[in-house]
Amino acid sequence: MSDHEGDERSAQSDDEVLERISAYLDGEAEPAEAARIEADPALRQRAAELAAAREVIAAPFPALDESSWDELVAGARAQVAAESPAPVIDLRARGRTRSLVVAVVGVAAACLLVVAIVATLARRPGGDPRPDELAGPTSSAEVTTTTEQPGGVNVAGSGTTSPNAAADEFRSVYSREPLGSFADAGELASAAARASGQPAPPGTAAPGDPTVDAIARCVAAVRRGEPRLGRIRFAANATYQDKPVFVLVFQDFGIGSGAEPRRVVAVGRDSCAIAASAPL
Amino acid sequence: MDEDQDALVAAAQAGDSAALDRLLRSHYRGIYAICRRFATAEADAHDMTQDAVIAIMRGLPAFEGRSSFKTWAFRLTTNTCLMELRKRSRRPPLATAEAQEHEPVARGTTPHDAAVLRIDTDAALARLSPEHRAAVVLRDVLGLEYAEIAEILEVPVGTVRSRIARGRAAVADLLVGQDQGMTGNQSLTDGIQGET
Repeated sequence: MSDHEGDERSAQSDDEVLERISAYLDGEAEPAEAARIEADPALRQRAAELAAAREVIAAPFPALDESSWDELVAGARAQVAAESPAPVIDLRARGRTRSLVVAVVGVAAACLLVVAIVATLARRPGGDPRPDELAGPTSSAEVTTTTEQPGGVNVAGSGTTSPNAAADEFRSVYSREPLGSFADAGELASAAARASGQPAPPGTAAPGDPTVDAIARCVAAVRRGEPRLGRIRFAANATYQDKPVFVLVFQDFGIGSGAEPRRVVAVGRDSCAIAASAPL
Repeated sequence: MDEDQDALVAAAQAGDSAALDRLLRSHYRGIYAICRRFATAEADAHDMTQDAVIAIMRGLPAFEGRSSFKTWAFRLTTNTCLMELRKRSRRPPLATAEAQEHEPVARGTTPHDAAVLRIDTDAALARLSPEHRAAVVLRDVLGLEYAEIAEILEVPVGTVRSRIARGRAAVADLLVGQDQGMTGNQSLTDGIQGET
């Protein structure tokens, strides 16, 4: 064996011995190994040296007090929050999508209105309207497009009605009490008329209520199809012909007479399509 | 206790900030201890601790529970400290005059006597490489088992055993002034030679 090989073998042995002694101090040595260390003065000496080193490493230090910790965590939280990127919204795409949805809903509402007019004109002889008929306007004169209304009420024909403005508008008139379940448009209209004449129950809608936001979306859609509709007077959930709807009572400037002409409109909660509409 | 931790982790991941506070507080002594013994100065320890907490907060959403939260948090803390030390190691090395402040206390002093003297632990640990320092701190300051240290450092248990042994030996040699120990501004990066 060369001197170099001998030195290497000796160095490896010394490293192994060191590890065994260190492990012995940690209670990780086999019993036979522990006995060998304890019986050998040189190994005992080395164990004592490592134990002293361990005491130095483990020396106590002033602990961090809890208030310092709290400050530190608060600082960390603030930094992490500041790093969170704001959501990137492509306004061009959103605008295009929104315009498309509004256009489709508007066309659908207009089509339903035409259907209602046709159905009314084709009413059975001597008959009352069928229960499922829409009691829409009796003449085209009622369907007008106006840009100005008394009192500066927000009207679709006067410009774009943003969902946010609609949400603010009717939070105070939204009733969390469901109106009920109806199969007949007339009964729905009567219930809405009664409810809309009452003051809104306390705590009807909190800011950011998701239902309010959904109603706001539908209100905006309805107004685009019904330009004569003015301020919203009442809003509530209901079921109409087994489908969930929003019941909305608008001021109706298209109706010729009445101290306070109103119209009740039931729109599907998911589609915002008009399910029923009647003057009040 | 594990179930409590699991519930706290889940709540914190769901955005419950009170749960996150409780979770961090349950390990704050260990997190600070790691940073304190890496930093070798209290002011630096505060900075490192905050960096570690930031790393934990950032990583929490992706924590999958494959290890305990404690192991995972200590791993992030240790890695944060290691990165900081590596940044600092790019600075110029200690001048000879400064290095002489860390000479052994006295030749021939018994290990016990050296230990009871006011030996600067920070100075002793500063002589170790970051990897060796991590191993001895996790073992001798936090009292963790070899297997847990291996999980935190993501190395085999044998490597943990070796690093602990060599780290202690370096500190021991510094204390008693052995000829083959660390003096001046030597580091453990090249290993320790055997004793004569």
